[in-house]
Amino acid sequence: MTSSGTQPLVSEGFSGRMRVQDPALPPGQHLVDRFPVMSAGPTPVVHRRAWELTVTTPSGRQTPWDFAGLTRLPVEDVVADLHCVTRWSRSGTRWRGVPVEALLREVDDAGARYVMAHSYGGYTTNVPLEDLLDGRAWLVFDHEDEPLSAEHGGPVRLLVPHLYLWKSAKWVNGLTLMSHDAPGFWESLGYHLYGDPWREQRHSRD
Amino acid sequence: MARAATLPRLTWQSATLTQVRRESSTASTLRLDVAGWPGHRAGQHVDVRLTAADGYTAVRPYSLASAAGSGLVEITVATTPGGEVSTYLVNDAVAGNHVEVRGPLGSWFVWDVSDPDPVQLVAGGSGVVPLMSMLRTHGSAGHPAPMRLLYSVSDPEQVLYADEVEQLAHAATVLHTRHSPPGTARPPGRVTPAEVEEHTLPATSRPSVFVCGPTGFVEAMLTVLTGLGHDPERIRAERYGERSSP
Amino acid sequence: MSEPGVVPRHLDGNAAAGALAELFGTDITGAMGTCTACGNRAAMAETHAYVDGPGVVLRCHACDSVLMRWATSRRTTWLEMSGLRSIEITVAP
Repeated sequence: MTSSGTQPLVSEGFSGRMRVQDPALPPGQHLVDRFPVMSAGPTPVVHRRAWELTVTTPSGRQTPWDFAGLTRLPVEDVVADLHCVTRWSRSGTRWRGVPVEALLREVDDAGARYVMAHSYGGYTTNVPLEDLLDGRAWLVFDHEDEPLSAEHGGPVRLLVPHLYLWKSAKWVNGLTLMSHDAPGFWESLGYHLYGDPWREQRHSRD
Repeated sequence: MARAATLPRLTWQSATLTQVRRESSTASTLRLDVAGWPGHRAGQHVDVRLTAADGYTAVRPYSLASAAGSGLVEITVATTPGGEVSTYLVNDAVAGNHVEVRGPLGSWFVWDVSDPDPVQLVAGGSGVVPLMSMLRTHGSAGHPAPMRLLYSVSDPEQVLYADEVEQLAHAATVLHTRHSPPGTARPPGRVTPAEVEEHTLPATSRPSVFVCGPTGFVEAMLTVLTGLGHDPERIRAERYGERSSP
Repeated sequence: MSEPGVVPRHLDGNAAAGALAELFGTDITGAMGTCTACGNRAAMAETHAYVDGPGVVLRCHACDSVLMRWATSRRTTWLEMSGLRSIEITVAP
């Protein structure tokens, strides 16, 4: 007897993890204690001294950054709640890094409205430029007072805590300013172009 | 018009638990009654789907432990920390409960009695489950070629199918990584390349090799086995993760 | 091949057998796929599977290029397989 397409069979006594909505969390999220590692490929291992990031303007002008240059910018301590589209959230995580706008201050961003973040290993994700400004996004290199580990995106990851966590690209090595929006790695598979957890923008459809 | 090859379609089947047996403090074997079960090959797995009363569902893959051709559908499940499916299946489920299964699945990590070659099995932890299906299939067929098991496990309490493994006598070697049983000379620790060489069929006998365990264990064993001269084409591996999804 | 101290996180294509069966209607873990990037030919069961993220990613075990990736919402599946030059599916006798 197949049960596909009909009412699913209930497993007696199975409740699964708690699904009670916590009003402090975005809809459909639950808190976890551990920091799960999500990966779509092998973990790149890049040492701080070898790390490089390139900022590219819509006109194609490129500005290279290295780790020493990054840490000469004003460093901030950040406490943030994280919301992963796979439905876990963590509250009060602590990071140290540089606001993204500090890297964009000198570049000619004429016509730029969106940014594609690029990572070692080929990952990409798109974010509106304005969401990376005004102290809402950072390039972070310490987590809980330790250098950021490779499995959580070290040496440097993007942190955009007001959007779903797939937007906070691990192992970031490029920020490309664009005049038009374009989908990144998960966005091209139906994940939302913007990804606001409070509006539960998981997918571009249903 | 050319007739297209007809592929067997896989769908969810309802299943009733008919027996739950403890294998260790953290693992149980569940026997399932699945109407119209087509039979399976040693090494295959099924996806198990659980549905809560409010419609919430969770799906996980579990290896079949029962022998091919036995007509039995048995999976062995080890709990993973915080694992909602494994915790239910090992600690809460009782005979008479219902689940859904999809399978049998996998046509690569399989061993059939038609393979005339010697077989070396290498298990890490609960990676022994699909290999036990191969051992049982091999045993019940009275297969003439040797089949040996090297089984790395954290401590004696975690050994699955302990009685059957003991009955394999010299065909099985159990090495402990964290605690050894009292009276054993070998201190607990990771399996070394020299131990792999000592306790497995030599590459010169050209065995089929099956390796199953956590990803790190499998990667290490593949390096050792190819270093001992085993043809990578004759080694099949199945990795299972320490699932990081909460 | 992995760096010391970094835990490899992939499983095998075998772990995605059920999800692949959902896409193809049948078990394709024994099907042979050819990588667009490097030309390596291997069983789908031998690919490296990353299953913990927002979707499933299968990579070539020889060169790590993405062969197939897909994600599902309640009603829709998005599938991208430009990294897979071809796939040969043989029906079991």
